Amino acid sequence: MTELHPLYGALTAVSPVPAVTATPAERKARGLLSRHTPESTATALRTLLDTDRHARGAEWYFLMGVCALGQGHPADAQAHLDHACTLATPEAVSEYRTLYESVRNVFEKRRSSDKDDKDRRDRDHACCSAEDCCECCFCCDGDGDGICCEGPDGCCDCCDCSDGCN
Amino acid sequence: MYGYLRTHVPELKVRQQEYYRAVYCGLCRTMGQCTGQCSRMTLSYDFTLFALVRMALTGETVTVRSRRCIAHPLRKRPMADPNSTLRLCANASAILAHHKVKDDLRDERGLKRTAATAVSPFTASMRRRAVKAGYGDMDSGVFHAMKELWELETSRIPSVDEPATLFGELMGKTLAYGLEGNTAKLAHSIGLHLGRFVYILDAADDYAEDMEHRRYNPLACLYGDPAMTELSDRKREELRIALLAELSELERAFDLLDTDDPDLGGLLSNILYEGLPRQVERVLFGSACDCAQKGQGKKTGHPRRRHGKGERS
Repeated sequence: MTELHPLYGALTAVSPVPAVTATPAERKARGLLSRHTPESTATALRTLLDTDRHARGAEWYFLMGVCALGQGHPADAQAHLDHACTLATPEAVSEYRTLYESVRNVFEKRRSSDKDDKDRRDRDHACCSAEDCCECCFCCDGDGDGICCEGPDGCCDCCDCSDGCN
Repeated sequence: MYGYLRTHVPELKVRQQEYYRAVYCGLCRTMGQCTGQCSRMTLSYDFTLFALVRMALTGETVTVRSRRCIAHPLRKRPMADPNSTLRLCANASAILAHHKVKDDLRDERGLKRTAATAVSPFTASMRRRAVKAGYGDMDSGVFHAMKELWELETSRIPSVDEPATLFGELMGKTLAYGLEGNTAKLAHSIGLHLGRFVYILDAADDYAEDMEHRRYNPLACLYGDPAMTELSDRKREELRIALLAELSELERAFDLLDTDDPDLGGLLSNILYEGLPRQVERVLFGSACDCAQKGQGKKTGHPRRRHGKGERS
């Protein structure tokens, strides 16, 4: 499941117990969100959107953020969670902030790991693609102008280096 | 379209850049042939990427010849011959341009509305030619999607992701047009995340201007603070995370592309890993500008911004 939703751990860690000041709609929404199904998330979102615009507090924004995360909407989620942290009372703020930080960390880490994977793939597939061919190149013995056996799919047959790339 | 989906030229190999320019110029030429000479004015980097992705999906290759064109009459340039992918992209571009102008006519005021009124007969003619060429169902799909998007925008819901997803769906369907099975699913997924990326980035880019002219901007609805005339650094950071999440999804879809052409693979990697992240930095923080990508001069209100988006090389 963590593969399918990067924030599954953070979302299941959201307590099903509502804040003391929560309205009935917010209590209902939190109960629905604790089921962690797409249908219950959609119902929770509808419940929240039906509430009075002037009665929306920190808990409302927090639950909207959880709904947005459940639906794969990172931009909305961050905006709602940030607003929830701003409005929250000192007792509730830690729960809100934990989820907000999780969102940032997870997506940032995921992207940097994508970039690392790409860099690793590039390195693995072309051992002598840096500046010039390395000495193992039988085409030019590393004396060629530039790179004679570099290619995105890997070194060419002449490559004899110890990395086993050939 | 918007011109955000571009390469990072300094990291391209010369042959990859030649390939990219050949497809770009080939698309321009195909647009002239398929939907009329006026449609060449709507040429964008976005549809060049669409053409590259379609070619990677279908395995279609391009034949490149040196030709002269109206924009470069003196020196011959490498140009891809029209093929089915370029024809599809040319027609899709014409249809989307027409519906974008219709949208502007509904929403805009002043000079932009006058401009939209002036070009609407030309875009209507482009669209007619695309429909006659057999892209009627694409046109009706785009019409319904744009209508739905307009309704969502007029309802002013506090969300940027919902309209972005609608726009992404539109791009996904356009990219997957005529494909079947897993290839269609993959094309749809790539289009969806590209569309979402473009929509959110465009909303961030236009934020200050939209607030100044009191126009609709999904981020303004999401943040709900009319006093915030430009995005704070914290909001920019949040948007950066959201956009990188889109790129991460896009990377997973791109990984499934199976192309034998090293130049095409290198180009797509360059756009995904170098071009798009730099566009995010450029739009949100005004950094990552490079001298090789000239002509990007749109002011958006951030004090550190010096460069904006641009079209056509």
